[in-house]
Amino acid sequence: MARHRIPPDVLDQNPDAAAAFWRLYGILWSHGTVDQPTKEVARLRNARTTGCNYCKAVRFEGAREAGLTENRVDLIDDDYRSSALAERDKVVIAYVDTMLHDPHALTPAQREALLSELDAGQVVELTLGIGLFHGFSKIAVALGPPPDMPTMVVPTPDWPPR
Amino acid sequence: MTSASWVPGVEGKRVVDDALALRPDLEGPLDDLRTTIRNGPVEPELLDACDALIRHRLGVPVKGPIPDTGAADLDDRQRAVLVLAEQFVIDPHGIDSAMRDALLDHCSLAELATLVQACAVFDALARMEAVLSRPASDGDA
Repeated sequence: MARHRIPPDVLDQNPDAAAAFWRLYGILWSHGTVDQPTKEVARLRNARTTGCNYCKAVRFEGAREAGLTENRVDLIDDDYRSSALAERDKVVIAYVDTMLHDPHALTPAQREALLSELDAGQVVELTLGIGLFHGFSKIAVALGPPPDMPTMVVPTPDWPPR
Repeated sequence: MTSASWVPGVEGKRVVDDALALRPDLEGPLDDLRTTIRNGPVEPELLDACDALIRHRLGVPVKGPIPDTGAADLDDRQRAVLVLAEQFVIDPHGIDSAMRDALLDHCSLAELATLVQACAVFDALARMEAVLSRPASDGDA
């Protein structure tokens, strides 16, 4: 039994840092140059690998409106390589897996595949995004794993907030 | 001379900073987040130690000493913070209520909020540095 209670909105205890995060996250999601479905595929792969129930349950509205259906989301699993996912999605999932499991192990073939799908600035955006998805999903786990949740579509982070 | 990164246009030796220079729209807000965390309620020396520990665990070069969570000269607060940072990078599922309690015996909720965001950003940037760097097997970097 824990002696201290951590409120669900604990990050707001440092409101300046929380605001700075949401500004960065909103710009990355809604004003970046990488399309939202690509970032959402990366975010959901991280969510499933990191085991963040909240992150797994959430779907960002913008990616869904741009064509990331639940059938496509279902394919972001262990068998993704042989699935009907687009090659771009497979390249992104492999990149997420490398960043999470051994970020020193990116292969020349992976680099070439990434640069055939994204320009240099987009590689930077996607890489920063994956890092943030991973780091902040770890916070949710570290503070006490939330229970399983139903799938829920939420507004895409934006800055200024919509 | 081979550049330090495999990403075209990232020419310098500071891979993350040089990569982010390609995207000033993201670099500025990320700098703001890092500055805000650093100006928060947790002493910068302790944040630097967390950063060093996380980078070390991810195999990214560290400037200065690597903290040892078992070192005798740590006080209980420093030890609780560093134990959390180390478990955060290894596997956050290993952070249990006893570990959180030990931290909150010595930290306010505002400090906890700052620490976990700091760990998330340190983890993200260390992974970014590792994955964007050109591996030594590519030759002279």
